[in-house]
Amino acid sequence: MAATYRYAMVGNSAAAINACDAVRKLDPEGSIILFGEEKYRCYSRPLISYLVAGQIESGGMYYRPPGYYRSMRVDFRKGTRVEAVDAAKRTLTTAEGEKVRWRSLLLATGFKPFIPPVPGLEEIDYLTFVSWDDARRMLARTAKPARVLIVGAGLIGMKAAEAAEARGAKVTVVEKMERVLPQALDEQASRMVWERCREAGIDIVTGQGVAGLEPRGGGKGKAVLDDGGELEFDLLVMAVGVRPRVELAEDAGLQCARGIEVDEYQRTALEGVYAAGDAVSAMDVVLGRPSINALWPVAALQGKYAGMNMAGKEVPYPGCNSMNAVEFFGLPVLSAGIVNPPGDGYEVVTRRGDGDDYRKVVLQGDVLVGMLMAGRIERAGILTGLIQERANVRRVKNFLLEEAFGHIHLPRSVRQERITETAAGIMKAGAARDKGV
Amino acid sequence: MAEIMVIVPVYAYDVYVYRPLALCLKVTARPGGALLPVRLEDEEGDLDLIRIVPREEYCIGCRLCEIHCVVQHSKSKNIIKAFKSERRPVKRVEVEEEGHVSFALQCRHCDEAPCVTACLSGAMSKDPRTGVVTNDPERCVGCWTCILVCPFGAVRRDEADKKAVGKCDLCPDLEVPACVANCPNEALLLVEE
Ligand SMILES: Cc1cc2nc3c(=O)[nH]c(=O)nc-3n(C[C@H](O)[C@H](O)[C@H](O)COP(=O)(O)OP(=O)(O)OC[C@H]3O[C@@H](n4cnc5c(N)ncnc54)[C@H](O)[C@@H]3O)c2cc1C
Ligand code: SF4
Ligand code: SF4
Repeated sequence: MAATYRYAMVGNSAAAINACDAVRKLDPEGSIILFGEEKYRCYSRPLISYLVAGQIESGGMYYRPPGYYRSMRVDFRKGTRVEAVDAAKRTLTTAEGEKVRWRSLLLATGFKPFIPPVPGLEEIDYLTFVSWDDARRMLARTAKPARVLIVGAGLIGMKAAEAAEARGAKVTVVEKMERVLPQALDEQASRMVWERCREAGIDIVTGQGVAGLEPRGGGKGKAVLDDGGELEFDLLVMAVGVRPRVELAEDAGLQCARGIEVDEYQRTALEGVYAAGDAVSAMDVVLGRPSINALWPVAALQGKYAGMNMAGKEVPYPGCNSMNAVEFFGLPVLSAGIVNPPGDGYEVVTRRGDGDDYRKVVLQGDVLVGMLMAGRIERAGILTGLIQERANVRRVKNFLLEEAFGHIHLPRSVRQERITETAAGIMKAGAARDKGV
Repeated sequence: MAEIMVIVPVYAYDVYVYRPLALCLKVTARPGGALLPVRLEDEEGDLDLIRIVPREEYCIGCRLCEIHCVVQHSKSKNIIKAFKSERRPVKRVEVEEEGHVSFALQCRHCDEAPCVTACLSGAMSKDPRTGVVTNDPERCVGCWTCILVCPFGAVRRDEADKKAVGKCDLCPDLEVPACVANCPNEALLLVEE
């Protein structure tokens, strides 16, 4: 007979761990089983670049202290992949053939790197940069000075570039778009980051794709760019993008054209099956529709709400937005919501201070829908909060870009309510909208 | 015998906060003369969270709270050394000022703290017993995600020791947080919740 668990969680990262925490807070008794394909206790994926760069030791990678699973009374199956889910019978089967019954199931399977079809790629021993194992491989292969070619200048590509540079490698990044971090940053901030990278010795080639690859053995090779330019490399890192990892959800019978779809309680279309994290398309309050925001805080928040709902406390997910915090070579940049307005109907205000100080807000009518701060980033969260709340900022519009912008600019009653609010947190969108600040 | 709890209104920050009378009577006097609530444990041994509430009608904008916060979080805890010879830690309280109005604001130790959920490394945590939200500088990598999500702007880069953030920790070594204790006009109140 297969063992029965009250809760089964697949995935051992931001979403799954926060779901465990939330379940345990509400249900101290219910049995929990948690599967993680990787051979590690839960670690923080974004820290792999810090590890490679030597800024932290392996001990600093862990997201939770040693003894976490025991103290939470979680039956943790390390290095175990779940291969099949039968939602009607409420069972799952692992790669080793073990069968487990569950009463509610969380799919927190995350993302996988997207590998475009490039002629010659199959013959090259290339790397991706999405896991602790990838970090180990990069460490091993940059032990001697290497020429590293990174394809893609998104967050993961740039993190890989920074890490490889810290290892003493000669780094070149090739990006199809015209600038670095095209999604998270606007043009100005991209330029600033680019400048910093160039000063640090990283070459960035934009507006170019890799048209073909010629292997030279041992993972080395030559890349031919769209314009015919050639680049020799000792190590190739593919970082063109990520896709939600949905094979298990599809096996369970869910349609996943754009990630796993969930309702506001993180429930999928299947009874008893919940989903959270990068594999999921969930409400983006700024866009006003479900979207995949493959970001750690978003995955963690979804996991938390999935956990609460699995434990029987019905609380709707408040929604999130695209929030990015990056720092490259001493230049911090934070952004939230829409930083590159897709068309007309937006009001964009920017301010350039001295040095690297750059700020921008994006408004749609009287609603703040996006912000970006570079250089001096202190108190950026006040703006993120207003974005998240869809606050009406008509009365404070002129102060938004000021360094001293804060609660002092909000009407007294609103400010008092916020400050004395005991359950302060990400407040439900609507409260501030109705009232206007 | 069942105890009868008497709830009384207490004037705090322009609003009346309702608190058990027993709590209001259990107060200690501090040198400055103000009365402070004593922390009580509930049946589960949990402490009630203390929050610092600003009173803008009393704040004179002198920023002494900021100064004493810096001193309290410095190595020597000596005002001259902290400002002159040591690497100066960041202030964890900020006085906001506009025209005649000012008040001091620090971390609210939120119930559902966005910074804790968002933290990439697990460095930011909420003590389940005291409700205090603190950052472990040993685990913090300085990714600034918490700065991005804190709706009160209560987290700052604190690169005095290493790349990490600093925020209000309610002064664990002191009975009364330094900002509250050193406010000359009682514009910061300790409120038990
Ligand atoms: C280099 C890098 C830097 C990043 N930096 C940032 C950053 O600065 N800020 C930010 O917000 N985000 C960042 N991210 C993104 C962030 O890591 C992700 O958003 C986050 O990890 C998503 O968490 P998750 O729980 O949804 O899934 P994942 O972290 O993808 O984890 C899913 C887990 O589930 C396991 N799994 C999948 N299928 C199965 C199965 N069938 N059986 C068993 N186990 C399974 C996988 O092995 C994996 O361990 C970064 C990512 C990378 C790669
Ligand atoms: S740092 Fe900000 S988000 Fe975190 S508990 Fe304090 S006020 Fe809340
Ligand atoms: S800066 Fe430190 S405390 Fe803040 S989110 Fe990053 S790791 Fe966590």
